[in-house]
Amino acid sequence: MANPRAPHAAAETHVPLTAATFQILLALVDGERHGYAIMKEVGQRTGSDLRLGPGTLYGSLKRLLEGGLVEEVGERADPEMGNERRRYYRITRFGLGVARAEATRMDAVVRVARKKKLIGLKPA
Amino acid sequence: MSAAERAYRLLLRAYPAGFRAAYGREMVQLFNDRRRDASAASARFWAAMLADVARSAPRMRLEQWRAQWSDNFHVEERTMKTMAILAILIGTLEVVSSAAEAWVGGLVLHGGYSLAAGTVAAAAGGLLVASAIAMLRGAKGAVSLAQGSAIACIAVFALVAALHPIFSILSTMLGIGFPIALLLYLRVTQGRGPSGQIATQG
Repeated sequence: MANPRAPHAAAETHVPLTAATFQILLALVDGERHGYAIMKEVGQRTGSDLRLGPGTLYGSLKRLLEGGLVEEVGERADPEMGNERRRYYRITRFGLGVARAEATRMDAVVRVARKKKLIGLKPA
Repeated sequence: MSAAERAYRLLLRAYPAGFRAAYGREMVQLFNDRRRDASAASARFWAAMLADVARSAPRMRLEQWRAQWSDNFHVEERTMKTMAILAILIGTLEVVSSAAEAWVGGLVLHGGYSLAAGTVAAAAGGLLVASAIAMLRGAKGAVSLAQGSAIACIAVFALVAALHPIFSILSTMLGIGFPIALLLYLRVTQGRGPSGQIATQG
């Protein structure tokens, strides 16, 4: 269910996103996740560059929920994590649009960087 | 509950109560998950946890404060509009009733006094309407104009009631009562400016 307080602004107006926000959205693109699963996926993808602590993760999730980019899908136990019940989150269609807009923006930046030979060169 | 979890629950007090109520349980759950992963690296783990709280808690406090301020502002904005609409209605009523009661009814009995009182009361009512329109438009100096017109209304209707009452009880009560309420409202809300933009990104 979409957040009723979600602004109906274009996805492009939400970018640029912070690194944590974009990584959380990326983690949710593949499907529903609980907090620990999001943190683990972001950690594996970024290594030590971005370690999401509980405050950063849930602060970002709260903002994403309020913005209508993410929605809650209820609580259930994760079979891989014992019987403890966990709250699951999923990306909304609007959130997907925002993530796509951010990826497009970053792609444009990377293309400029490559054109200026900042990246993509073989080491001498 | 372990000592580490107790210590983390204490750290959670740095966050706003509403945020703790909504996410506190999950944060403790995630803390325990991460503690299990961290195993031996205890000092590094705690440094990361402290840094996370130090980074995110002030931001959450600031966001809560901004949201609260914005909510208060919107309530005030609605009340201001209600007061302005009431001022337009009551001001118009004062203009019409003053004209009707003083000029039409009173002219025969009280002559020039009725005409003067009716004119001044209608002018005060008109001023109240003008100031209310200025309030609705958010014009500069609208509050001062509203205060001035409210004082003028009170003075005119109180003076007429004291010297030689020619207006009906309803007109006099509205002419004195509403401007007093308007003055009190303006006094309470004075000095509070509009809210700033609330960041929704990131």
